[in-house]
Amino acid sequence: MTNPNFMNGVPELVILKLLQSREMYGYELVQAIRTQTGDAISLGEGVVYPVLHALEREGALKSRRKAVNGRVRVYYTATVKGTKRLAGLFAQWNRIAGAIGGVTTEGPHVQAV
Amino acid sequence: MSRRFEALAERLLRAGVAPRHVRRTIGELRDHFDDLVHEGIAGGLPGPAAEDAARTRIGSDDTLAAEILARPELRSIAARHPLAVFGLGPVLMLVGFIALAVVLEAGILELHLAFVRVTGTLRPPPPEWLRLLVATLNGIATYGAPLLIAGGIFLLGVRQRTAPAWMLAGAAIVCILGGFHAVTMTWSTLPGHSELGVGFGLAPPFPHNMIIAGLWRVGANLAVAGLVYRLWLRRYWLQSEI
Repeated sequence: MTNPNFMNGVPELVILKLLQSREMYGYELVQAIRTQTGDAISLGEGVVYPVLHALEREGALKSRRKAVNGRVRVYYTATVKGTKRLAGLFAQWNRIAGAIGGVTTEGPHVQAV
Repeated sequence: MSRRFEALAERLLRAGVAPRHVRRTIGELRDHFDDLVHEGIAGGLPGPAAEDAARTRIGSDDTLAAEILARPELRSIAARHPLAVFGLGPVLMLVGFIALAVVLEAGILELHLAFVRVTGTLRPPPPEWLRLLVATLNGIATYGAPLLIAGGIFLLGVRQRTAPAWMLAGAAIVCILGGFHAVTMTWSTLPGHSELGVGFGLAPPFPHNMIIAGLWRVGANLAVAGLVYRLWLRRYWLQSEI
């Protein structure tokens, strides 16, 4: 999946969806993405951080530092604004998926003579 | 502290990413790396192999830098608007500095006046400590402000790896403008009649004495700021070579 037009908003969608249910730190979030997508989305794991920071900056996520087993981790969770953003991203994704599904399952509507 | 990802940090700073974002990203990448190494070792890999695998999974510096730089909102204000920060910023800071000094001095004078009125201890002329305090604040606002602001510009610029031209332009602006202003106090033996004033030699009626003195001060400001800049750069380079 390298077409930027198709990939636009996908990392945000996946991250917001996962962080909507519970708070996670970066490594935990990446493992959840790998597990839940069956490794279908495998990017450099570090690229999750700029996405998280950008989402936090726009208010879609909030973070807090928490000490766990002697290490301080940054935990992220979706905000109300993030939930609204997720709904928008879902709608956009469903439109694209529906359009692609229509093409791949029904074939062309007009046949060449 | 681990030096891992330092090359990436330097690259991001030079590209204009805000230092706080760089610090945070690098910190989280280091934690993530450690987690991946632990995972690898727990899975039976020897240490070096676990580190190699972790580095591969995190992504190359090129991939990470490209992803971060694709988000302009993570860039610093100075990188996005250098003209505003290094051109207009020094002027506003100088005006703000002078205004702050005037407000502070006026407050101190009013408080002192209220105190002596209430206690009935009013004795002209004003006490020596008050004169000294006001003279010190005036000195800082008049002579110290341009140099302090120039130092602040260098600090900001070096931290954010700003192009030297912007830093020098900002420092030069404040050194030149800051040579022609003066915050003065004219004491009166009558209580409540002392006058606090701000003068600017480059504004009408263009007082000759302020312009001449201002030119000397501009020269001194530029010389001191230039020296500080050279020493700072030298120190920075020496640290970078270690």
